Amino acid sequence: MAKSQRLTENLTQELRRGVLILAILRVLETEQYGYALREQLAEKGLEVQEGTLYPLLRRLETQGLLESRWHVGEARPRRYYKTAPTGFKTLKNMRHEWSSQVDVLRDILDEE
Amino acid sequence: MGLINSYIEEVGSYLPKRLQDDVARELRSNLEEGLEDRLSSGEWTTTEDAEVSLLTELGPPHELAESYMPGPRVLFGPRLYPPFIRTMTIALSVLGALKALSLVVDFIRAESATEFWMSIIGSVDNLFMGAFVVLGAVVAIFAVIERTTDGLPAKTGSWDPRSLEEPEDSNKALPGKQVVGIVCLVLTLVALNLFPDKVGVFVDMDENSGWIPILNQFFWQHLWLLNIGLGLDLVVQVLVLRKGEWNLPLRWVRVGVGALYVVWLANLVYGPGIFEVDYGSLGSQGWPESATQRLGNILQKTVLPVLNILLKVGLPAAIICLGIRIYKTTRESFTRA
Repeated sequence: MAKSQRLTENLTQELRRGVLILAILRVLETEQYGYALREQLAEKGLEVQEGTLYPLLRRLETQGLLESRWHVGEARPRRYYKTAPTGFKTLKNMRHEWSSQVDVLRDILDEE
Repeated sequence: MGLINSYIEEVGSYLPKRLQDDVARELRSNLEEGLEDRLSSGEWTTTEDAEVSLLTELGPPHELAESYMPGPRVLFGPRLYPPFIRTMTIALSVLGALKALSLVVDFIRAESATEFWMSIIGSVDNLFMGAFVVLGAVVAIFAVIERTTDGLPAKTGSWDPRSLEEPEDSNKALPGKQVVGIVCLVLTLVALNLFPDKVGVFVDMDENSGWIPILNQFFWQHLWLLNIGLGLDLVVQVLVLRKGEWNLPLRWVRVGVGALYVVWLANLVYGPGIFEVDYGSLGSQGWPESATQRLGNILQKTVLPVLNILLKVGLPAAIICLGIRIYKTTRESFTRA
């Protein structure tokens, strides 16, 4: 694998990781379990590896951005995650930040 | 499901106990879901193939386990690093000083040079062992502090960059120190070369008083070597005072002077002895025979043994100082290069 291709892959992964939290907070405004969340993100074009997503969900929960509970009445027990009140506030702030960053970057990248 | 069970078990083995059950339960739930999806898609014909595909995508167990950890598993964090370095410096300095002291004792007790060198080798061996024990103990203590206090509390309040201390310039000359050094060197040179009869001990006993020379001919035969060392030292100190700072060539000359002192001391230590009461001088100063004998006995039994011990202690001390000076100057040479 060429060096530039490898670097591109790594940087793309880092870029995705940065925006992934924003996407998770938005999608989990409706309660979801890990596997279903991954499917939903993939359907929208944001492919996430399971090894990245599951630990990240727990970390966001530890930070107070998500909350979770076990559903045991289904075919198999599942842990459902939902954006916590702190997560909602953070999401609101981050959406503004995201919009301004997109504008700034568009300006920089399109500069002649 | 065999591979999934093994995988979950292995991931758990890398996790702290408090996380193991919870992570295993959630992982199992998600993996079973993934396996069902794969089997129902028809792309994989056997359960094992589907499991392999699923687990391969998830990555090696230790990597997944690492993702569940809040941060790198370290014994203590960066906030404890400066106090750790300070503690290690103090602990190792104390250890080094104790070893140096025991080396001096060995040197005094040694009956031959071979015996002394053997004790040096033994001391170096002990020093390394001791250093490892100290390192292990200090690391263990800091790891406990990290886990029990969550590191040291952060400094509160606003931070002012002007509070930063100015870095010390080790090359800057200290005029007071240089002047004192020059005066001491000149006095030593003058005393040894112009007033050798005054180099001794002043005694006031039984209504008789005077300077008693206690250095014998062997010392005076080697004075030329000491004169070269003292003279070079004097030139270096004067140049540093004039320039206002140390430079690398001057530092290396200083190393050379240190080496000269070591050679001179080694000559004296391994020679026939340099301390001796000059009875003839006592007689020429008008001391009566009985007082001369009494004073001679006192000096032979008290002052001279102490001076001999000091001379013997001086050699290892000079070697240690020379070693430190060589190390520092070499390091500075490489830093500047």
